[in-house]
Amino acid sequence: MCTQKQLTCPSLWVHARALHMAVFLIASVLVSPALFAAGNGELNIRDAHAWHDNDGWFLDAQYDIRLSSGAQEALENGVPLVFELRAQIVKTHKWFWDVVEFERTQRRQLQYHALSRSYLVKDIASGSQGVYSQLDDALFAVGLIDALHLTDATLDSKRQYVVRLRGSHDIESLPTPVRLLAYVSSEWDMNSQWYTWPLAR
Amino acid sequence: MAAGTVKRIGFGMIPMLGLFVLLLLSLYFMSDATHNSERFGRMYSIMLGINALGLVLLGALVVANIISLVRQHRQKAVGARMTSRLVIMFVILSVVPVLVVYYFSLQSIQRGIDSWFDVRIERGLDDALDLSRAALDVRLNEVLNLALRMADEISDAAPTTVPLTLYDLRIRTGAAELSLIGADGRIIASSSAELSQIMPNQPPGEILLLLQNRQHYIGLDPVVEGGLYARALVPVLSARADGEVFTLQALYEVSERISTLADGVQRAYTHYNELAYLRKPLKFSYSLTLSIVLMLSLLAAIWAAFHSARRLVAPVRDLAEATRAVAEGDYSKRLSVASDDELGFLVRSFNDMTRRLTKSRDHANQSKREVEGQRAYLEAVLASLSSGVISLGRDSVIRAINRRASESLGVDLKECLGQDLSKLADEHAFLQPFVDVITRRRGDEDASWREEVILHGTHGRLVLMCRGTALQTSGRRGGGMVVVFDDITALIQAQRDAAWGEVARRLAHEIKNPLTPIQLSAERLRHRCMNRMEPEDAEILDRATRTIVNQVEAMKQMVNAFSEYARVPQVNLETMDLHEVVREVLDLYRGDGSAVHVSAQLDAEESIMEGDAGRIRQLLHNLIKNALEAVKDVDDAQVLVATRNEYQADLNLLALCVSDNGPGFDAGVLENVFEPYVSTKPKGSGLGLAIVKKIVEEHGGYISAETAEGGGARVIVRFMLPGKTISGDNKPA
Repeated sequence: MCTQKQLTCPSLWVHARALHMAVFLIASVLVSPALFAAGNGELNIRDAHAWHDNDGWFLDAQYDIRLSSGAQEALENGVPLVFELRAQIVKTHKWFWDVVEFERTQRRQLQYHALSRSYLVKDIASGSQGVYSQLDDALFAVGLIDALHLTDATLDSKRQYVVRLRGSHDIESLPTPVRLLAYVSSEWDMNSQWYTWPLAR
Repeated sequence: MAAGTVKRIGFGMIPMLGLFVLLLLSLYFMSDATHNSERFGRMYSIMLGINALGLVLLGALVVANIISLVRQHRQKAVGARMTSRLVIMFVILSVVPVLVVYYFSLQSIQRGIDSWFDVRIERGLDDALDLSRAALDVRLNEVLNLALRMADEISDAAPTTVPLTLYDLRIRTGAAELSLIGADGRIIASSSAELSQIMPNQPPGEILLLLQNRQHYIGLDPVVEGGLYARALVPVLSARADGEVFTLQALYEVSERISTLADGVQRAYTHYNELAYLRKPLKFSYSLTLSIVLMLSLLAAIWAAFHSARRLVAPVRDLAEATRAVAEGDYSKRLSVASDDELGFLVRSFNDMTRRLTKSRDHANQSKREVEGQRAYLEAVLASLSSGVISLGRDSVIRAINRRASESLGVDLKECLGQDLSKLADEHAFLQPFVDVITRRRGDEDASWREEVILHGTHGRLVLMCRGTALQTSGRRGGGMVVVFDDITALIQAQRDAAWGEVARRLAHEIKNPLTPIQLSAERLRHRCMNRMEPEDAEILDRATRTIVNQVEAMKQMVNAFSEYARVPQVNLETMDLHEVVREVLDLYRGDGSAVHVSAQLDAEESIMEGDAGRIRQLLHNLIKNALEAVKDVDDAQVLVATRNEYQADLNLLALCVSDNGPGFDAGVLENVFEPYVSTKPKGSGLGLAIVKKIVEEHGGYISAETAEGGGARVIVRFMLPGKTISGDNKPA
């Protein structure tokens, strides 16, 4: 699902984080510590570039995904994984909070197809699909962003803007029973740091 | 209290019930979500968060209740211990069954979920998947062979006819799409059955890499809308001189039936595998849900225990506090009846009790006021009485004294109220005779009595006429006594003065007046007849008339003495020194050559008194004369006049003592020695000491007479020294 909207502050995001934190606090008391011990997954933004033409601003990026053993096991047992890339154009202020001017999210689903022994990568918004016999190829395809349309609006030339990217694994898309474990286990903590660079015009 | 109860329910129960229902609903949704339900699946985390928040709230509530209870315990608040006991009991009653149910439910969940999985099903699904693959492999081989044959045909075709060849081959072989791809991955030509699909299906890069080694590829492509495609990629050797190697990609649709069946197998396999994989998290989720239910139930039960205990204890605590208030005298406490149960009955009884207590207290207060009024009236009556009144209780305790009693006795008796009668004598020694009479009379059988009591009090001699009446309680004696007394000192004095005045008047008229004619007649008789008579007769006449004249003279003196006694006293009290008067009088007796040794021993330090010096001189003359006459026949006769200061109770006295070494007073005379006509002397008129006593009484003093242990009479006169009190320091031992 792709969304394009104007946000004055990241309130929804804060609420979601607070909810995640609350769930984590409760569940961490209940869940066995052994769950934390497995190999961790990783998600890093390798490269990103924003460019514009007459149609507006676009983004090319590549993020690397390394699945944890638990996530890989889940994938191979038929559990689909959804990865999300959040891209923001932020207006910076010297004496004030930064304001998110535009935000775009791209979600891709990775699923194992047992019959063909292949991995399916599907863009949830467009429905386009790719089939890969190798997991690495599938992960590469998931992380490859090619000309993602950020906005067709014209940016104020007098203001400073930065682009922020963050890739993450969407725990909420996991089957319900796994979700709680995913919140409290570092195995499922596949989120990148914010990748930020000034927007060059 | 009804309002309070509503308030308690309103502000305690309703929010709690609301929270509880909310949590239950949330639990239901969460449980439903655990089944992977689409409805609540997305809300799972929110539900979990709500439940966690609810648990934290409930936990905080329970902790707050516990802290409050502990604080109440420390403050020893009413009802705290009872609340604790009830809470512990309720918690035990609710927790134990819940824990048992929890344990067995947990066991059931674990075993139930495990029972979903069976190795045979798993193997069956694996086999079905393999079978599907085998079935598809046949089709894939056919496609590969077709692709290889088509590759040969294309390689023979001229480059310009390749698109047409592709179209022709696609139509002929029934392919969904045929594409010719260059070595650099470019699509050179393509033919597709889907007219809408302009862009041909691009093979993945990995496959192209594989084909660079002139190998072929055959595989299945699942598609988004369902169904399967067989993708075959084979090298096409170009007939051109440059020898470029192309790749032919052929996409064939797997037949619908096989595709549907294979898809079904795929879905079932995936679902089962996913379920098997989710077994552990599912157990965890169910256990978590169950644990939350348990925690929710436990905390709600504990809170409900607190709430119920408080509600149960509240009326008891109110009762306890109200009882304490009643014990402290606050009868206005009323409790509201909250229920119709036994506690309500208790509260109603308590209210009845306090209402009656209030009524009794009001009645008692009214009675008290009436009694006070009657008492005040009685006191007013008693105060207006001219007689002194002392009321004694059964135990000889002084219950009432009127003002006149204090005035009569000259002491403030109010201080003795509530004390034993004997205390009266202890504090005021001169009241001892009065106390003795009352004490004696209390033992008598007579209900009423009358007796005269003589006291020597602060204002001199007091003669009291006491009348006592035993109080009767319920017709029986022994309820105490009322003593009414009058100071009749002045009355007696007046009666006596009147009596002796009458005697003097009679003497003057009846005796003194004829005496002079008798004397004159006797002298005339003697004068006229004695010269004419014979010497013998004349001697007899002379003796007789002389006797008459002498006796008449003696009678005249006696009558004068009576006149003197009966004379209305005109005392001029002035400040005088008793010692000075004593010395003056004694000087008269010392130089007369008498054999009697008259001496003085003036020891009094305070000898200044209020008195009439003339009358005191007369008093001294009378006493000294009496003493001299008493020792007339005694060898080594001695008369001693002594003074000293005496202190009795709160009295400061100046005592004058005249003593001699004569025979002393006869025992029979001693009691009435100061009455007129009482004398031990053969020639005494019997008025000497009576006059002395009269003079003493005129000065407010009192007199006593006694016979000394070694013999000899002793008359002691005590004068008051008014306005002098004795401090503890100079009080003699």
